[in-house]
Amino acid sequence: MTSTETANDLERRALELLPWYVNGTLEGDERELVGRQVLASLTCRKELERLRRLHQLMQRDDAEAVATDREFDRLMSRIRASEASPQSAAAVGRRGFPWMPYALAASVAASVSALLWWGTLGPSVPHTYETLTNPAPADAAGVRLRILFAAGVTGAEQRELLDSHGLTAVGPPAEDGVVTLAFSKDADRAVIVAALKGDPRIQFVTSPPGSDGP
Amino acid sequence: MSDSDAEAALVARVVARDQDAFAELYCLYRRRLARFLGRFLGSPQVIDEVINDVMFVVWQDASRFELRSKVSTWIFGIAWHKALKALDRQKRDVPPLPSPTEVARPDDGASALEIREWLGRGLDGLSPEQRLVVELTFFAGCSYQEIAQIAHCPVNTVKTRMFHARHRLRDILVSLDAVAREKTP
Repeated sequence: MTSTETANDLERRALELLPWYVNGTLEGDERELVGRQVLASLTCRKELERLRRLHQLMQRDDAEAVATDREFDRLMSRIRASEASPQSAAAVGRRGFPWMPYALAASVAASVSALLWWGTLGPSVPHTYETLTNPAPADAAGVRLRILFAAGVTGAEQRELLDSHGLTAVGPPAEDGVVTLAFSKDADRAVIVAALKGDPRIQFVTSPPGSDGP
Repeated sequence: MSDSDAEAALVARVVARDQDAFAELYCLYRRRLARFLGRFLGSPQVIDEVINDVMFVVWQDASRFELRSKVSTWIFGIAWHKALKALDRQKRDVPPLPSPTEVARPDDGASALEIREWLGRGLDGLSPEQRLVVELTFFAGCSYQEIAQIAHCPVNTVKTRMFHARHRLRDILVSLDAVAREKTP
């Protein structure tokens, strides 16, 4: 193989791998190879620019807002109907969960991270901890909801929203931001759920296992 | 904790039949799946149905998921399988799609939205397999190894499909370049 053929071959390989160089998933030798070829080859540089433009256009999220709650309710109805069949539960019971210890460890790590994150809010966002996680109302045992705030909703807005509905956060948010809420037994759950679902600052409302609705 | 670890932890809770964890996983993937499936399936109703099918399988088969792949690879793999089935059902009703070369280039003053629509029409001219590779690479950010897992094919097949997709999109890629240059003062 001549040196010219070798250079062509390297360029061909780099061109082939460029899409994954652009999306950042290329590693090790392949990443180095493409990086070198981009510097050395005008063809590679031009193609890189085109693919970067394609990547930018395809990354833009133009999906319409989706009716998450309604669709999720429909899915859960389907699941409950399927689990009314004993074969389903038996099938789950027969399978082992060999990876469970690792996943549970990850879950614990996530909870610890969330607690640490919660505890570090103090200096820059005074009273956030105290305000959002006041003890649940004495008569709120068993009355729970879980919500996910929409992106960009500030701590002050969250507090104001919870206060306006008589809701109290009973713990720090989960690793993905889900907050568990408590409210008085005297409150009208359906009214609260409807108000939360209609509020653009709330992305999602659901109930812990074993509770009613929402 | 990385996103992948957090998602794996959620799946662990789903295995234990934690509906909250499932709701969180659903929240995380609903939008991504809608966007991904929207590239293959036109009707919003069909997309909703397929997402329902995908997440139903996630709930049912969570215990079969192994940590050899990322949760996203697993879920996109289920989605692709379901999308292919839905495409089969749709085939008789769908009119032939234009090839990329038949798609007129937008005017020089085209908005970003017009350019994206134009690109979308160009992508419609790819085969589902080619389009899967393009979508998973440029939208979902998958490595070619992950795409091979999702598509159940060798990595060289992934590279070949990407090669042919780029070839079919060549006119569009070149024009994208030109539009970008014209928009740059």
